[in-house]
Amino acid sequence: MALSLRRKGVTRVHPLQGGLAGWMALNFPVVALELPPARTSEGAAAT
Amino acid sequence: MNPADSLELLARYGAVILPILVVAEQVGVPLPAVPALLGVGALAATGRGSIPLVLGAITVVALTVDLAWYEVGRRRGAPVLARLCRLSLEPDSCIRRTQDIFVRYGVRGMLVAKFLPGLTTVMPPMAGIFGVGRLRFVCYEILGVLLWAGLWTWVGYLFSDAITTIVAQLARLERAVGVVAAVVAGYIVAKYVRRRLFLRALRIARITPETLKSRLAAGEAVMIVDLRTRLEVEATPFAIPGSRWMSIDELDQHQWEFLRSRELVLYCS
Repeated sequence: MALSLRRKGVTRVHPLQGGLAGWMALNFPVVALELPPARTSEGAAAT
Repeated sequence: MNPADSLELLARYGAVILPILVVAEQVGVPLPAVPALLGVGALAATGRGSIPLVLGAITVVALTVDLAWYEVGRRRGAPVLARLCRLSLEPDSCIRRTQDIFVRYGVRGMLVAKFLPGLTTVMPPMAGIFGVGRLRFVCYEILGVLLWAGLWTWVGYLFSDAITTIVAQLARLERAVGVVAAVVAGYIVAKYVRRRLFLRALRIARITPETLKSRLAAGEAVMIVDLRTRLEVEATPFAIPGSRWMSIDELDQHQWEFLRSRELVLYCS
């Protein structure tokens, strides 16, 4: 994904070491994340 | 071996060679199964080979291998997909593309998976990860294999004269074929090296959780982007405070301009 960003000209990029799992392993704070409905192949929001 | 010899070999051992090529593709080795299927079709049109026999052998072998991948996906979960996608030239887009196809089309995506390079390897474990029922998986797997292999052998059967002519021409142009193969191999190596260099640069640019936390506490303007797929977020529905979940494929030009002007911290699972 970082490669895709670089291709689009986004150059100041720092991947987080260990990802979210690494962050949570250190007991750093997190918040609940609720996603918007997924788009279906017809372009409408899935129920 | 020249193309004419290959065709002769297919006429004799098609029911063995084709399943081997299909299995190679299923484990991520890019061997040319489609030209071989066209060859089998062309040979059958001249009475030298049996399409049902080859299709039956391919289906049995492909089902056995894919069922094993399905079980691995079912038991081991998402990490299997990441490992499989490492074999691809574009591992990141491989994971996202496969998950997107599954989220959008479900198990029906298996009907076209064999037509798309790389997907044939990752779709069966994906079906296991998504908890598709075994019977349903088997039905779609058989349909997908028959659709893919049947279509190419049928095309070979229909255009047997043209294929025989092309094979004869290729035999004469053996050196030119070698040059094309070398160019393709060079392209793959160049892409691989470029990717390794880029990943090395990224490793240097990594930020530790401790550094990020202290920079945020100091009030620095760092934008945190959550790049997990929908599937991954559903598995772990938490995020770093202040981060934004983004579907990179859906960003418009204005949003890209915004991202280019910022310092970004990206995270996945």
